[in-house]
Amino acid sequence: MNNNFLLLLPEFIVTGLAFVVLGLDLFLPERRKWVLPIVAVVGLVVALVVSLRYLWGVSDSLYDGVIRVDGYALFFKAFFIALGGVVVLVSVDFVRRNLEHPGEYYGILLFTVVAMMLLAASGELLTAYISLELLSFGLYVLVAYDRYNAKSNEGATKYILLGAFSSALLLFGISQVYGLLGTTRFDEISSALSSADALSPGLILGIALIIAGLGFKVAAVPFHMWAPDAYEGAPIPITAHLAVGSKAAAFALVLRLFAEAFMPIVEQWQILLIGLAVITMLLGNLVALAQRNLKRLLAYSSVGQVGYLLMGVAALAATGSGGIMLHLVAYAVTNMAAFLCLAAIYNITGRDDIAGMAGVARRAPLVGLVFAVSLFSLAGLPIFVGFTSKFYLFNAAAAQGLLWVAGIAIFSSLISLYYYLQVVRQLYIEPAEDAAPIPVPRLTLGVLGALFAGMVGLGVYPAPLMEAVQYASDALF
Amino acid sequence: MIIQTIMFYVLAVGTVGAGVMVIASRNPVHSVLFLILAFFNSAGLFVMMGAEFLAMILIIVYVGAVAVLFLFVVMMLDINFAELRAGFLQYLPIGGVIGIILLAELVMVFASGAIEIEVPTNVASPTPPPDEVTNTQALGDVLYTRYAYLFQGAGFILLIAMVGAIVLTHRRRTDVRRQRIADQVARDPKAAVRLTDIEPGAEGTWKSD
Amino acid sequence: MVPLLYYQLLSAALFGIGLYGVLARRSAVLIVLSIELMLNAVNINLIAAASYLNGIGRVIAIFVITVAAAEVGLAFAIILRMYRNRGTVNVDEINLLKW
Repeated sequence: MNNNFLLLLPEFIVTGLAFVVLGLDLFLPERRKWVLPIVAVVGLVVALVVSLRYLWGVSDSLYDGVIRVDGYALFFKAFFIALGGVVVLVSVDFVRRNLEHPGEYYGILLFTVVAMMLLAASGELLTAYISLELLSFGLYVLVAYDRYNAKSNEGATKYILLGAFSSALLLFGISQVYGLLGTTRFDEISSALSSADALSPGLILGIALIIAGLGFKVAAVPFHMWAPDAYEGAPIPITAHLAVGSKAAAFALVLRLFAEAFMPIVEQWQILLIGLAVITMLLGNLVALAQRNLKRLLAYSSVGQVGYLLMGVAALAATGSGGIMLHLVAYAVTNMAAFLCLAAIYNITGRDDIAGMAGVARRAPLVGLVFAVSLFSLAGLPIFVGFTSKFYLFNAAAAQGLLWVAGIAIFSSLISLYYYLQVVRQLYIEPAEDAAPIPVPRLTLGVLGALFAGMVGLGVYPAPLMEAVQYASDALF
Repeated sequence: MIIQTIMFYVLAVGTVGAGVMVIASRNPVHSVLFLILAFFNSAGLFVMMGAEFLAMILIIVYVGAVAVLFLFVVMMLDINFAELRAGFLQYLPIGGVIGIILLAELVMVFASGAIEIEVPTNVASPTPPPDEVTNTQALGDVLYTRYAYLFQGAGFILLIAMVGAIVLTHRRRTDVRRQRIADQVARDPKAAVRLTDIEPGAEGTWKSD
Repeated sequence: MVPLLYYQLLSAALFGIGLYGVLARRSAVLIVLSIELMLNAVNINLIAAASYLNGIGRVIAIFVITVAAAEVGLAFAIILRMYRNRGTVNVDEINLLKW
């Protein structure tokens, strides 16, 4: 057994950081609590540098294959650490204004980052389950964090009830797969599946339950009921974290699970995923048309994005995971920008409905500009990163022979353009109720600038990102 | 042999019956008590399957901690029983259809005879055969080696649950009178005692705090 | 020895009962109770398979018990929070948020 625990250094650093933040919180007086996010961000930067420095090119596994350390895990590790840093930066101003107990907030946030890193590295079903639960537990607490707000309580209640229910489904699936194949390791599942002459119905049931359980976690359509409520109830930075981080982490697991474990029986699950993808993208985008609250609108739009990603997973056999990973990164940058703009506006005006965005472009020109750009990028308009990634994703589906699915995806993108434009219209054309400029903290402006540069830069020149994605997905196949 | 089979049927019927009563009984306190019964029966099944340690854990954790927590919450929440009763049948059609379909599917799947378990030869068995070591030792051999990191991960989960539960429900009450020892100790005679000259016969010059 | 099939049928029945409870009960507390029933079914399935295969199933069962206990604690914290703010634990009545 390999015992080179240095391979887990990034996880150890982030875990230690979470304890440092929780501990510091005990000793700092109330007026010094602003130190906490700074400590968190500095620690995350150190973890990012360490993981890129020590794990580049490493392909190994720990604990008898339970945890995998390869290019794929490294890509997502770096991605999630960076994402955690952005969420912390987005939170700084919001938490100071709206929430109590900042220490526990940042500590639990860091634990969810650890869980996401572990999820991308898991090479075995039990590891996947434990890290998924660690992530979900952190998110349950964070969604409920605005504890005197009835909406936050309500969203968290629905989230934890459906989350626990979906865990039970997932676990029954895992117990079926284990009971029939005798192993939980992805590579052993794969070889057991390819050697079996006929698939037993029990196994199909197990895999279907695993798909249903994971479908809850990524909020694919028949299982999406919790998503809009949890998104609307949660504090805005946590909504961003839910929409981007938890979704990307679940997809990191889904990709490895399907590519490494379930690939031999691709015909069985492909049709199921195609069905899920089609109803997810159609329903997500259609229901988004009816929304009045911007957080809910972004929630349904992210349900629609899950549909595109599931389409990519269905096309996994032929085209690999590159398009999906590219889209996850693009979607992360874009969504973070949108939620940061929303948080900056909400901090001053206290409005998160669409009508509350009226005239924001005149009151805060930069925020308005980044907001509009991020919405265009979500819709997939050219020169922004959302276009590039959607192009690759739809292309991959077409290459797999799923031309009609790609057609539906393009159609639902057009629907989404309509409601994004509604928001842009509010931002730029509708007159403001209150003409006073919205003050934006310098930190927020800096992060917004970086995200804006990411959206445009990666849209115009995606080559470096594509290389990283290629390197990562090579590890998978 | 025959005793084992009889025991299995007794425990299995007990588990399922108690399970049905958990969701069917109208009083939530009864539901919790039936849950405890279901767990006791399944602990018996665990022992029959050679997992004594897990059976004990199940009783200690569930009956000792979780069920008591359930009872606390059920009694604390002041649930309106009449309303609950009304709701149960309202969902009977949809819930019943889904439940029956799933159950039928599960039974069909298992009974179709497609579950000939054959241990795949390529699986590296991480545990020694159960005859050589005790139940608890066999668990520990895997738990503290192969799954050591997950063991810590489970610890993080418990930590988050604890911190989260405290952060969400802890409140500093302002409507109760508490002894403030620090304030009491900090009092000095100058602040606590006031000497006043009262002229005999004058009224209303002295007032209490 | 009792055949594995019997244990699996028992587990399936218990899982179905728990699933029905989740769908049919209205009180959040009783939904959590039903989820516990489903997890118990998972444990029976795992341990039955483990006694025929290898010890991994039992380890998974330990983790399931741990996580389920923590889940109950956290779920009740959140439900209590909602009860204090809204005065109800019925999932039908929590309707500030919809569509």
